[in-house]
Amino acid sequence: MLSIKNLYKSFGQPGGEVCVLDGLSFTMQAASSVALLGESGSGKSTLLHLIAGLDKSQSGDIEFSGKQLSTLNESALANMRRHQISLVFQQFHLISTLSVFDNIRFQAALCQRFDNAFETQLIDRLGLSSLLKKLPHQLSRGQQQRVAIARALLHKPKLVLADEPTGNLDEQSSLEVMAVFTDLVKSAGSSLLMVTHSKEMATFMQRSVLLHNGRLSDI
Amino acid sequence: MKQAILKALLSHYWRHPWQALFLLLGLTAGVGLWSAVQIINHHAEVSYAQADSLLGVQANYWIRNRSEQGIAQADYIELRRAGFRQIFPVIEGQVITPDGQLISIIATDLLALRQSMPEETVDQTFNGIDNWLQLVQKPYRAWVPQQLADEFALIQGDQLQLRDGRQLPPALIQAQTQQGRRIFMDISAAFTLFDTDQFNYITVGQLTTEQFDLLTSLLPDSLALVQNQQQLDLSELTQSLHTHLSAMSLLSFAVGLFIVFNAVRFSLWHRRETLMNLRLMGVSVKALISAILFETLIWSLIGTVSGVICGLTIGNWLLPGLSQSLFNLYGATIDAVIALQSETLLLAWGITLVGLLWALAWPMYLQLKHDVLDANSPTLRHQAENSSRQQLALFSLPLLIMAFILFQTMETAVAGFALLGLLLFAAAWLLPTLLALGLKFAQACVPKQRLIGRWMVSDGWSQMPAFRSAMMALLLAMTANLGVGTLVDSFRSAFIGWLEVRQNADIYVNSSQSNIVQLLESEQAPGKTSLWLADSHRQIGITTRWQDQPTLVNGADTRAPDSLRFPLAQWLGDTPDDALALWRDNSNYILANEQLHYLGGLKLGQTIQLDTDQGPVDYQVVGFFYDYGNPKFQFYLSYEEVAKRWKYHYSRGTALWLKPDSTSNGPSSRQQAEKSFLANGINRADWISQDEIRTLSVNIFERTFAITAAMNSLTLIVAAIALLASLLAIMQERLPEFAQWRALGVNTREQFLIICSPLLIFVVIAWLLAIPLGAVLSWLLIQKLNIVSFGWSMPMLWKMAPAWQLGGLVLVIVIVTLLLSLLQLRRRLPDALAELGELS
Amino acid sequence: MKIVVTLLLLFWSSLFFSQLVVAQDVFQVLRDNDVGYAEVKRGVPLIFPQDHFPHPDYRIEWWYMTANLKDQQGQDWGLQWTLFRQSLSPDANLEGWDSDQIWMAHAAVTTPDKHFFAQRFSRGGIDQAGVNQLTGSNGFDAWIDDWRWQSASDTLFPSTLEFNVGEHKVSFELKTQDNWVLNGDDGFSQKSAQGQASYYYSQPNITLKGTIKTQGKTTRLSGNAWLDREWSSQALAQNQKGWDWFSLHLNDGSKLMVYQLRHDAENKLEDDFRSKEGLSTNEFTAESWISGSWIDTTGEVTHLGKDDIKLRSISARQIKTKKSRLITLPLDWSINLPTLNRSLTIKPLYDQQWLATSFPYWEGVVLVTDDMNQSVGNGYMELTGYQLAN
Repeated sequence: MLSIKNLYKSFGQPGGEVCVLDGLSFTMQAASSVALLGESGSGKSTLLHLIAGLDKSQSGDIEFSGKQLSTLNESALANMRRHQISLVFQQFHLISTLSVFDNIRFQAALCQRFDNAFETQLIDRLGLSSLLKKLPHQLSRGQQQRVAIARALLHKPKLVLADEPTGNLDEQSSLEVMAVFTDLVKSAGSSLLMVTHSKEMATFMQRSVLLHNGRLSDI
Repeated sequence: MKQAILKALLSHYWRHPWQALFLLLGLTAGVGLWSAVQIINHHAEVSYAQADSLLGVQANYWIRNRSEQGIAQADYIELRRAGFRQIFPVIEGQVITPDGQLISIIATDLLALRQSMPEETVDQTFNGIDNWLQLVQKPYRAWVPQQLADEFALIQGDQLQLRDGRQLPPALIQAQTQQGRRIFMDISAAFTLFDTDQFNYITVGQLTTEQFDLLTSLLPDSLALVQNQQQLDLSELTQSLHTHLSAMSLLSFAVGLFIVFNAVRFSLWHRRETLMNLRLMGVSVKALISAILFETLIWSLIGTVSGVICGLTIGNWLLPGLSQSLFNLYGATIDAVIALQSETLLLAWGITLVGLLWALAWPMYLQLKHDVLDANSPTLRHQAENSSRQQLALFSLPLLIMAFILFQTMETAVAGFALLGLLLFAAAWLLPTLLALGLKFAQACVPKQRLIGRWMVSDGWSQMPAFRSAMMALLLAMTANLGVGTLVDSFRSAFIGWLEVRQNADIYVNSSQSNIVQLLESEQAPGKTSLWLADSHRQIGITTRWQDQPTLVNGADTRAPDSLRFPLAQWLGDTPDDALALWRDNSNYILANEQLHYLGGLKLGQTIQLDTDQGPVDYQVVGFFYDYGNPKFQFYLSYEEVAKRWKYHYSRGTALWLKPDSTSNGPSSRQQAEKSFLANGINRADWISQDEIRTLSVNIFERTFAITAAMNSLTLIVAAIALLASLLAIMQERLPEFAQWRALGVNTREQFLIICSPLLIFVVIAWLLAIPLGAVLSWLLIQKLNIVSFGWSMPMLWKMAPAWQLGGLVLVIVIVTLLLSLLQLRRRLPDALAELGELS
Repeated sequence: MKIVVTLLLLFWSSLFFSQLVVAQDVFQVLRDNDVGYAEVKRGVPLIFPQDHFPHPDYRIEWWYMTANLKDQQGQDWGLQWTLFRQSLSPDANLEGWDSDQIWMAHAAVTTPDKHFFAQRFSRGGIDQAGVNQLTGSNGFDAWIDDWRWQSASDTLFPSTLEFNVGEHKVSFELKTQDNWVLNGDDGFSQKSAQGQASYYYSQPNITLKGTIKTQGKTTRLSGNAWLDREWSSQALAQNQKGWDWFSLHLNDGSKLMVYQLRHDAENKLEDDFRSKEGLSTNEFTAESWISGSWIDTTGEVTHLGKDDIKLRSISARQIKTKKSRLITLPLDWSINLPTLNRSLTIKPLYDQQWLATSFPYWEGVVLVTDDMNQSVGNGYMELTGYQLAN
């Protein structure tokens, strides 16, 4: 499903070019889950952005679902994100002026793929039923994170990209959320690529890889 | 799917209704004022088109007495009995109320008129048989239009009191087509009111060629059948006034547009996170753009509707003032009820849409061109701000160049207004650069050690993008206010000064009295020294057309006190007196009003030809005199010359100078004069003293410019609201930030200083720029536009007082805003503090 | 008992209502009472030529000319020219623009195919309209704008009558040698049982000839004319709807004038019902005020009262009035004079001779036949006070 070959990405900084990804290669199967580990600043988030089509690499191929990302224009990339890739980032990215209920359904509404049974399941398992009418800013961090998860999964994307989704939560909550999260991903039949720097979190995934010196290696 | 996107975007307004209100306010204000003027301009044009009708009956021709005397009743009856039935006798006159207001009266044979109207009009006009018979029977009725009735607080049946103690017939409050501000009554009532038994003129409807010939042959020598060109004349004459108004309305629209711009930027700014989220979730830029465009469409529709409704209201409110101005300046009447045209609605929607798109385009482009995640980084924003500032400054240069070119070649009023527009916009676009310079200067002034100072400056930098458009709107409004204010003040002072010279006689007596001639002859008989009369001046005149414009040629006593001090704007020779001497001594020299120079293209020393009874005669122009408020061309020749050249001249009244009162306790000269008048059969209604006429003239002037003043105030109010709203919104938005500062230990005073100082610097810079700009604007208005539009020139009188007042006003607004936001802060601080740690 | 009372109340209130309704029509001015104006009294002799001239003390007055003409082809034509004077106030100002007199004129031309009419208004006192005062040396002059009836003699004849109706320019010379006919009781013409009356005299024996010019075409005509002169301060009683008037020139040289003042009130309901049902109201109630004058070939005048005249409408038809509204009028009549042994049938030359003026009515040329359907004369008929169909 996802195949990366020889990816190079560097940034221009005041002190000179910094190379973040250096000939990185990676493959991922459908309906699998991978934990992406690495030190701070090692480029994990950058890799995620590249896969999601939010950024462009200097060289290398990223092939997702049979398409080369470099050949796609902005609209096509947006399309891809809409239908096939979900993002669960630290900043939740909820629409502040819509209710929780609307936020949950949002991505699904964009690609017109609803599943009412699954929706009920998501809401129940994430404990959101009493929060449906509230606005994002009225929720706690943990609750917001769970809403983000629900939104990301409702339309059953091919790939879910998560960047430290539990980074803002305490340990107890993190574990709870992770358990539910990975379970739901499996129910949705999606793949999950999750960035984390916590080994405990990594245990929820089927596979772990380490990003070091710009390259990936399995752990 | 589109629905979802729209919902995400539009839900913002649901949660933040003030933003929606703000946007709506800007749209309504801008569109409102613009459409108000459009509507009333159009309305006036329609009214002019009906100018050649009286109560719905066509008046294609007029029968007038060549000497401007009256028309005998017998002449009218004779025409009637010869079979001419589409003719109506008319008396037009003016009466004065106790507080010096002029009211116009128009009277005709209402019985005959009723007969000529089509059935439907009859029912409409004269509702109920009883009703209309009252009009033609004692004690008659005065047909008063509603707006006049409101002004004088009249109800049905009231009799309006006049200055000389008489009363008008009982009021019948009902307005008719083309009535404007005139009171209608039956001719018999007018005979009594004006103590005359003659008509001013007779209107004539359509005539076939045979009828025309027959009528002309039946008319006695002293009467002439002339074509009614009122509609044409009116349209031309009033063109400049209407252009003037349109320009002011465009200015208001521009200010409104700035508010909209601000509001749109805000709303996009507030939604930047939502926009980013949408892009993250896979909404393409194209989809976002189309969603935002759709939102724009909806706003344009809402804005148009509310703006036009507002415009109609304002238009109806402005209409009395405008109709007064039009009547005073041009003798034009317009109907009291406005109707909305579909074209206006469409046009309003068009410009709203264009305005909104323009306001949206730039920020939207900025927002969306970057890659998703970068778009909101502060660094990028700062860069964007810098570059946009530079770009604006750059764009202002071609505008300035175009303005310069236009200045050299300015011929028409429209070009003049275009020039103004270019100048104002160029200034507005330069403003951000000036604001930046101001901040840089402040930065340099602040001592390095003072943290507060540096913080203040840096906060100023970060706030600049937000304040920018509010400051631009403020600049425009202040400039307009100062410019127009100076124009009106200069005009007022020039006008009053001119009045003092032109109307410096003590008493003016009406023309159609042979009694005054008798009286004068007796008082000024050779060998007699009058007790009260120092000097007199009788004038005559004729009306003609020159270059197909209505023109007056007056015959004045060249040795009378006011002729000796004719206020000349241009003269042949070294001094005005030289020119006047030429004019006095040589009957081939002629004086012309300024309008003839600026609008008619006449030059000093040029020779013109006038049509006289003896054929065309040449005259050389020896001077141009100030003639404020006159829409027509006017020439002055000597009394003898006019009497010689035109048999059918009319009297233009007599001016009398009184001797200074004797020191002994006798009656004053004025009292003696009035006694003599009455003794000689001259009625109170026939003379007017200098102060009365002064009051009247000033009243007319004030009313004429009332509409300009109103527009000016409205624009300023709109800008003030804009400033207030945008400042409040900014403060609102920064509440969490302010809470953070408090958390860090900043106290109220320091907080106030930090918020206040950059803002004050910006406002002061805008104000400082507005002053010279306002001066330039008023100079353009006075020296260029006024001349091109009306042909009047006057010295510009610049005073600093209005600028100080304006500065004070703006300061008050800023302080009020700050206080309000501090209050808000105090109220919401606890919550803001509580939420502190929760921000990402 | 209750039912009777209710019915009576209904009946009575409907009378009241209907009277109100009727009272609002344009002829109300003729019913307004005469407070302040001069009263018409029995026994006051009519003096000529003085009484040809205006009587400003009386409220209403008219000079009424109708003419039956034939052109060179023998076709029937008709003319009507009426000058009305009305005083708006009892002690009227006569001169100047604040005169209280209003003059109104109606003129009509009946051509063989079509009827044309015109209306004029003028205020008095300004010479735009009026009738001159008798001075003995300036004859008689009645005019409004460019319509004029003028005679060098104050006995009104011979005179010229000139007016125009639309495109038709009318110019005639009128002559008579005969005496004036005083209608009613030596000119005192009572109009109702309540006592309303007017001074009324006629000149039925006028011969005239002249031309009508239309768009360049000139038609020469000659025939008989009839002048009615009447003045009063209250012409109709409050309950009189209107009248039907006939002036006939019979071929044998005799003349007949008949009028009927129709009442409403008691039988209004009945009349309404009948006209709604499309039925003609055949018999008029005995309350109608009927009167007439018969002038025989020698010029002798016989006054006819209600027993001498049997007036009956034979057929009613609809005609068009203003704005395509319709009105039903009794257009065919039968006049039976038992005491004179005459039986006449009156039929209009054609139906559409309606004057849609401010005071609308029907007036036009009628043809007279006897009971053998032979033509015995012609004349004019006037029908006023009928209500529109809707």
